[in-house]
Amino acid sequence: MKFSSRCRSILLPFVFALVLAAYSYLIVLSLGSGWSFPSLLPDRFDYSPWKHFWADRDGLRIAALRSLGISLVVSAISTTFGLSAARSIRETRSRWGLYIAYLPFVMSPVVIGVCLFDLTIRLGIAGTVFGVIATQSMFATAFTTVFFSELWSPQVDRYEQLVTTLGGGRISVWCHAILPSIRGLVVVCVIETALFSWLDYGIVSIIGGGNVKSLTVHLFAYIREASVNQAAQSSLVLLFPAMVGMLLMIGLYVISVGQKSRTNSRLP
Amino acid sequence: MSLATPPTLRVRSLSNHFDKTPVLRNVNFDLFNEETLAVLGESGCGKTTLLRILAGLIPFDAGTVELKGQSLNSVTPRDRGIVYLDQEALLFEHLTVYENIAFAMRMKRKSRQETDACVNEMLRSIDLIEHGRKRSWQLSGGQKQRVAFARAVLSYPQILLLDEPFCSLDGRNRNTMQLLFQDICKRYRITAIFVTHDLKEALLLGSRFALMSSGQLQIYESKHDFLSDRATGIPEEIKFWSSAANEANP
Repeated sequence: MKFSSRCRSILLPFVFALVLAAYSYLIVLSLGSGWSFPSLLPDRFDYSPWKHFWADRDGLRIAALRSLGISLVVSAISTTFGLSAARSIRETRSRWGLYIAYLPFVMSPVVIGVCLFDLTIRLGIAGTVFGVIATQSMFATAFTTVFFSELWSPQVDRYEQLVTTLGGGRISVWCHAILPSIRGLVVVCVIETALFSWLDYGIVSIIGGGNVKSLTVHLFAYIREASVNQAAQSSLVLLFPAMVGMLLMIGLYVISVGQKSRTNSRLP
Repeated sequence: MSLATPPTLRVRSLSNHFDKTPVLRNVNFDLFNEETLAVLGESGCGKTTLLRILAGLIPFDAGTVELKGQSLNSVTPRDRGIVYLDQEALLFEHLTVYENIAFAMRMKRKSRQETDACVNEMLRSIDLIEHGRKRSWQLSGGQKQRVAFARAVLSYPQILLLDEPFCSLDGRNRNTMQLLFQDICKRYRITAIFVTHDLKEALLLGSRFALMSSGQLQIYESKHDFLSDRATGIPEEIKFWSSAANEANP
């Protein structure tokens, strides 16, 4: 066995165990009550926070759905505009466009939120879901523009020209020339921007002004009021996409290892 | 070709430059129906630029391009009926070999029966009938080039522009493709401009000949003129091979 594969076989389970330990801790926190030092486990387990969640007594389920909706819209807007903006930058061959796209990275989402707060008040979108989506999209579009700026290669241009000369229209160009070439990157970009919006607290708290109750807003409120059960519970909901991703990765890893061992056992 | 026959393509005073460097200088030529104009020239002499201008893929500075008497200056690449075949076989990886070849017919909304008949006949012609369901990454370089060529032919272009399409193939595959090109051009009555820097390929595939040098295109009236012009490098080539033959058979 090579050194790298031996390292991987030791390190991967260790990393998974660490991550699972964090999740397990959060689950115990969300269920346990009367947990005092030096007890290893809480005095009793109580399912009431999760019952509340499903009954939506604290508005957490609605907040999760609101966050999901916002992140999907932000992801769709920023990916679409990022593709077009990156293409325009490449066609004009201007580096300035790219430098401008880098600007939001120099500042943080919170600073951008503060800078744009006055503008959103004047536009009458402060404290609305629309305002949050617009501001998050601005930041996410900057990311997607930079992300896609190297994507528009001469190869994509050549495929586009081929489809055109063979009689294809705009839709055919997108379906047969552009999307098949960039499919993988678009998926990554959609996930990245959706996660950015899903996990964002800075913009949603400043622009939303407390009116837009996203999952992260609930989480920070629980932390501030020291509601440990609810904070752990909302953290688990917030980390749910990452948890699903990790479980998928573990599943794929186990399948690939199983396939490898089956192949090796068949070899003479 | 009879001079009384109007040309399919007429190019007059075509000029173009990139960043103040002239790439095409006053190019004039006629292309007649069902003929193959073989354009010989070194790398960077403007051959690809000429083809891309004719296909409408890049703009030009001055001159006129007419297809069957109609100016192409404001016609989009999609509506020109001129297909440009790249050096690299650009196959759609998400489509099968069959779907790649049928692509242009589907774009033109031909009926399923007609498409099936044409594509199957073409697959037989290019000897890939058993590979119709494969994806492009399962094909060899020569097979990919055959599929790209077949796809271009089945778009039934007014003019087919070939930009050194066989330059990346090995000798054997190249010979096979050259023969296939001759056969298919005859069968589908193709009018083509074939750009190459290979003398043998130009002589084998062309029905008329031209030499491109520093952005200027010289058309030869006969094969004899082409063969005897020192600028093409053919006389030196003939001399070299004659002396080599004499050495081999003293």
